[in-house]
Amino acid sequence: MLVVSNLHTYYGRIHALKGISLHMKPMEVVALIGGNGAGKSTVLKSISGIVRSASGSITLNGDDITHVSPEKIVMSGVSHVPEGRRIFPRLTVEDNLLLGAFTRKDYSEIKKDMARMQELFPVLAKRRKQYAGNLSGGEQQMLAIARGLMSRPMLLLLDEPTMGLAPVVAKDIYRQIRYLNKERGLGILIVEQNARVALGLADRGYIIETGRIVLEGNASELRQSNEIKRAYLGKDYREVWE
Amino acid sequence: MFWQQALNGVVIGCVYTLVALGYTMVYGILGIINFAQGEIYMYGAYGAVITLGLTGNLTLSVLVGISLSCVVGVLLERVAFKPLRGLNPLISLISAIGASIFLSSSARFIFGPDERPFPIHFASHMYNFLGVDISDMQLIIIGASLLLITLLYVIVNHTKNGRAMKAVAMDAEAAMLMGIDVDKTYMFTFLIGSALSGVAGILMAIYYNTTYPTMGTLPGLKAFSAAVLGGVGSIPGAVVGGLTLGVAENLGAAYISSGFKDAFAFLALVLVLVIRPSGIMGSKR
Repeated sequence: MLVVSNLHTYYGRIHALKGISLHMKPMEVVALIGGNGAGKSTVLKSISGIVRSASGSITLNGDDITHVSPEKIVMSGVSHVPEGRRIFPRLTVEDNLLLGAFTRKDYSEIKKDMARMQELFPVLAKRRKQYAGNLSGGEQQMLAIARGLMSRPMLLLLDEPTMGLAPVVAKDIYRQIRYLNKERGLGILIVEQNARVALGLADRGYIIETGRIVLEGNASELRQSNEIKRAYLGKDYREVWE
Repeated sequence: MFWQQALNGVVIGCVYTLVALGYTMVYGILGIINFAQGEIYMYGAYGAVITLGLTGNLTLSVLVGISLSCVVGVLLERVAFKPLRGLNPLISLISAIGASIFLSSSARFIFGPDERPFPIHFASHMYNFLGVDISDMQLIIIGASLLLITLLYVIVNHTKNGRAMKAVAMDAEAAMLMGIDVDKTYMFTFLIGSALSGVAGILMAIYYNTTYPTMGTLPGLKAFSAAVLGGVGSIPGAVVGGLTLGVAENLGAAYISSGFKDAFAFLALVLVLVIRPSGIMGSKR
């Protein structure tokens, strides 16, 4: 469904992505794992078109979307839920959801989708007339995901969806993400710092370090790799027999 | 006399409000101060006056005047602001001042330096409400302003484009992720702000019966003060600020000295900012 090949991206003089290649099959959950500043978010921003890449290509279902405008990318079925949620704080929950459907014109269907989102995330129904800025962190994350779904994507890009959330809330969010993938058939590319959680959720994973993919494989394989364990599951991690 | 002067202040305050709305919307959404707002007002007046001189059709002239303001405003955004996006806002401010000087100089070049009276003479009727005289032109100014402010309120709060404008104002990048064309939203903002200023320019050209290349400078400056006074970026703030400024300068002129009329407007600005630095309706950041 999604093929990124040899992508190079610069921020001014900083070479943020140094030839990233990855691919996703339909309905797959893929995790992109790495430390701070590794370039995880830049990969997502390049796919959604808000960061221009210098070279390389991104194709979605065979169509080249490398230099396509962000609004066309949304229309072609990619939705990016950014890091830090980025909900519109001084607009109501309802208005935030409506903005998620900005590119759509099928107003009666939008109304139905609004109801579906409130079913999926019942807290949003209770708070639909409130300012989004007054929601708790977990509720804001649910709103951000629901807003992302309002464009009816086939591919959801999730950037650190549980950052700063209490473990119980994070678990709830992950349950929803799993549901969206299994029941709705949504492809999900998820960026995480927490390798353990991400690999528990994903089918496959890519490990990214300073703008390069250093390791890729099935989630179960990656979970077994000692390198990963040491680098991302805790520095002092040692197998008993080591 | 108090109510009479207060009314005159409200009339002129309506005009400040219309221009201040342009300032405040452009600031709220793009984060820049468009100091050429007063020149957009002046082009609106010229557009109407010249068309009226040629055709004699008032409706057509008003439409041409507003359109000319819109064209000037949108070109301004493309030429003076778009290339500077993402740089220090101070650079845009300097560009705006440059654009303002360029626009008033080119008006002098195109239209000539002389004052032009409004081609149609409006037979002025006076009405008396509770001892206060009001002319039909004053009624038109107040009515047109009320109508436009209501229209703006509806556009911003109850349309898809308005929702997009608010989203872009809060977080332009997140708005892009929603599929909102941010460039188009900026253009739309300039379009609305310019149309309001254009209407204000035409109304003033009729009210004072004169049009000249620097007619926008002082109203532009006062409208900017009105926007700051009310809290720049806030639409209700621009309305409150515009009316406050208009009334303050008229009362000051009537009771203290008419020679200092312009000074009273800025004195009101200074006084409010000393007490409330973010403006009357401005949010504290």
